[in-house]
Amino acid sequence: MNVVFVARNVFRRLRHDWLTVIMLGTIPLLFILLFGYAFSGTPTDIPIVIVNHDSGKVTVNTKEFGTITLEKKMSDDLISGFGDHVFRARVMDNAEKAQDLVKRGIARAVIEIAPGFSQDMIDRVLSVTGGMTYSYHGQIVHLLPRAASGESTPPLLLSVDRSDVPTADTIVATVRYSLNTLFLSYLAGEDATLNWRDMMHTDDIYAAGAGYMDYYSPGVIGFAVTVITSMLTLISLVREERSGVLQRLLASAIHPWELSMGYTLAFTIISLVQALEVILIAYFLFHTMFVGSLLLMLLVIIIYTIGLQGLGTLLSGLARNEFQAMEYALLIILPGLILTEAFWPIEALSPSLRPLVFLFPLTYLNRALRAIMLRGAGFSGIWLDLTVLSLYALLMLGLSVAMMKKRGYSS
Amino acid sequence: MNGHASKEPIVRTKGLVKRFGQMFAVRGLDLVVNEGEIYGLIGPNGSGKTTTMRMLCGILRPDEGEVYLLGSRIPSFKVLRSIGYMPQENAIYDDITVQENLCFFGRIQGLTREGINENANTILELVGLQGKRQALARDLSAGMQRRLSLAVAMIHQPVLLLLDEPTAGVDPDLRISFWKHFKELSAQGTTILITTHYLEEASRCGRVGLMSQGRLIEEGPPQELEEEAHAKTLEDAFLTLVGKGREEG
Repeated sequence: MNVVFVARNVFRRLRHDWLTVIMLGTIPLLFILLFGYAFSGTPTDIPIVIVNHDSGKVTVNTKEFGTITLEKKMSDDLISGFGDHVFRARVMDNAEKAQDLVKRGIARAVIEIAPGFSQDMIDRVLSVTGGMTYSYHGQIVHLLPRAASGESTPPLLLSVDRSDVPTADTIVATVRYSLNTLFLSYLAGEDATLNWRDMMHTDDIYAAGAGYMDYYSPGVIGFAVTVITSMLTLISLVREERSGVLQRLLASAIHPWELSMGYTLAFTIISLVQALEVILIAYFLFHTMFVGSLLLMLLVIIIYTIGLQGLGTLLSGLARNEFQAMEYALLIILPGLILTEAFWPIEALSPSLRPLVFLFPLTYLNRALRAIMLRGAGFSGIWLDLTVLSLYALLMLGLSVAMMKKRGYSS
Repeated sequence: MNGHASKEPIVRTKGLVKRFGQMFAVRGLDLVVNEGEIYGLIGPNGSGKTTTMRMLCGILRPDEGEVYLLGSRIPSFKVLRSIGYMPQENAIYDDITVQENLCFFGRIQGLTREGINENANTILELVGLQGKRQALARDLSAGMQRRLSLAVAMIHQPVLLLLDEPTAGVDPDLRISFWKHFKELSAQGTTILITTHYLEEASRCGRVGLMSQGRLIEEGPPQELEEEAHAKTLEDAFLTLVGKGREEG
C-alpha cells in the first residue's frame, strides 16, 4: 500500500508544479514532432551548379546515308532526369567560377558536362545495341556503331564538396542514377549496365575521401559541449540559488559581471577539456580527418561556450528546482540534436523546418568546426559563423549579467 | 575592521514596502539601528523579517521606500564590503572544505590570503570548528554547517552583520558562546541586526523590534516591552503585543 502512497504523493507534488507538468507533456511531443517533421528522407534542394558545354552534335554512321551529324543534346535529358526536388540547380558557363561557389560554401557541387557528352553516350548505346533506328528528316534511318576510339576522358566531371558527406553521397548517387537511367532509356529493353566510371569522373573539392566518421566528429564535439555546458550551468546555478549561496554572493562585494564571467571562465575551461578529449580520441583512435587549425577550433568553441553559458544563466533564473533545470537543459539539447546540422545536413530536413536551423547557434558552431576540421578553413572561411557566434555570445553574456544584476540589485 | 566615521545610523529605512502579488510582506517599515547596537527583529512566521533582511542587503528590491546602510542609499556596491550577511539557508558550498569556503568568501570580500588565515583562526575557534578546517562542508553535522555559515558571514570582520536566524539548529552551549561573541563585537562597534525565533535570545539584544503582518508594531529595549505589555517575560510580552497588533491590523 505504501507504494501507492508514494506514487500518489509524486502526482500531488506535480499538481503544484505546473511548469514541470507542462514540460513533461511538451518534451515528448517536441521529440516526436521534431523527428517526424524534421526528416524528409534523402537530402533535397541541394544547391549545385551545372556547367553544360555539351554541343549536342553527334556524328553517327548510318546504313542509308553513311556518316551524318545529328542534333541530339542528351545532356538535357540527363539534367531533366535529376528531377526538380533533389537539386536546386544554377546554370553557369564558367567552370572555375562555379567551383568557386563550392569553395565558398554557396553550392555543394559542380556538374561539368563536356562538349562530347552526347557523342559519348550515343556511342555507348550503339555499341551495346549494335544499332538502332532513328527518324532523320522524316525518314527512318539505321544508326550503326562506330569503331571504338580507345581511351577517352569521361564527359562528365562532378566536383563535390565532400566535407558534407551525406549530401556529397546523395549528389554522386543521383548523378550516377540519372546517367544510368538515360543510358537505359535508349536501349529499348536491352539488358546492359553502364560503366559509369567511363562516363563520370568525381573530384572531391574538399575533404577528399572523407567518410561518415569524419562528418560526425565535429557534430559530436559541438553536441558534447552543448550538453555539458547547458547542464552544468543550469544545475549548478539552480543549486546555488536553492542553497542560498547565490543570495550570499549577491550580497557580497562581487559585481554581477564578475560572477557571470567567473562561471563562464570555469565552464569554458571544462568545455575545452571535453572538446579536446573528443578531438584526440576521434583523431588517434578513429583517425578522423583534421586538416585545419586546432587553435582556431578552440577559439570557436570558447566563443560558443560563452554564449551558451549566458543562455544557461538566463534559464536558471526561470527554473525553481533542479528538475526544471534539467527540463530547460533538454530544451537546449533536443533541437541541438536535430536542427543544427550536428548529424544531418540541412538538406535532409523537411523544407518547412529548414529556416529554424539558422536560429540555433549550435548550427554555426557545427559549420565552423566542420569547415576547420574537414576543409582546413581559416578565419576567412568561417567569418560568418564566427560573427554570428560572437554576437550571440555578447548578447547572452550581457543578458546574463543583467539578470544577475536584477537578482541582486545592489551590485 | 572597516570603519564608519559619521554619526548616521548604521541602518535606516523609510517607509519600506514589499509586495508579493497582492500580499504585503512588508508595509511601511521605518527602522533605525545605531552603531554598535544589537537589534533583534522578532515576529511570527511570515511577519516580514526575512523579506526585510533581504531588502537591507540588496538582494530584494523594495516596491516603495528607501534603505540607507552606513549612510549610503541602497543599492550601493561600495557598502557591500562592509556587510556580513547570513541568510536563513546555510549558503555554503558543501562540496569544498571549511577552509576553502572561508577562503573563497573572504577573497570576494577583498581579504588577502594572510588576512583570511588570521581571521579564520579566531572565527573557527568561536564557532567551534577549529578542528574541522579540512573537513568537507557536506560531512559536517547540520549544526556545524550553520556555524560555518556564520563564520563565512564574519570572515571579513564587517561593520554591519545581518544575521537571519543565525542560531537555528545550534545547540544551547554554542548559542551562549555566539551571544558572548556578538556582545564583544558590539562592544567593539560592530552593529548587528538579527532575526530570531528564540525569545530568550532576543532579550539579550539592546533593542528589539516586533514585526507582525509586515509592520513594526513595537520596538524598544526588551525590558521596556515587557513593562508595556505588563508581562513578566519577553515571551509573554510578545504574545500580548502580537495579539494586539493583529486586532489593530
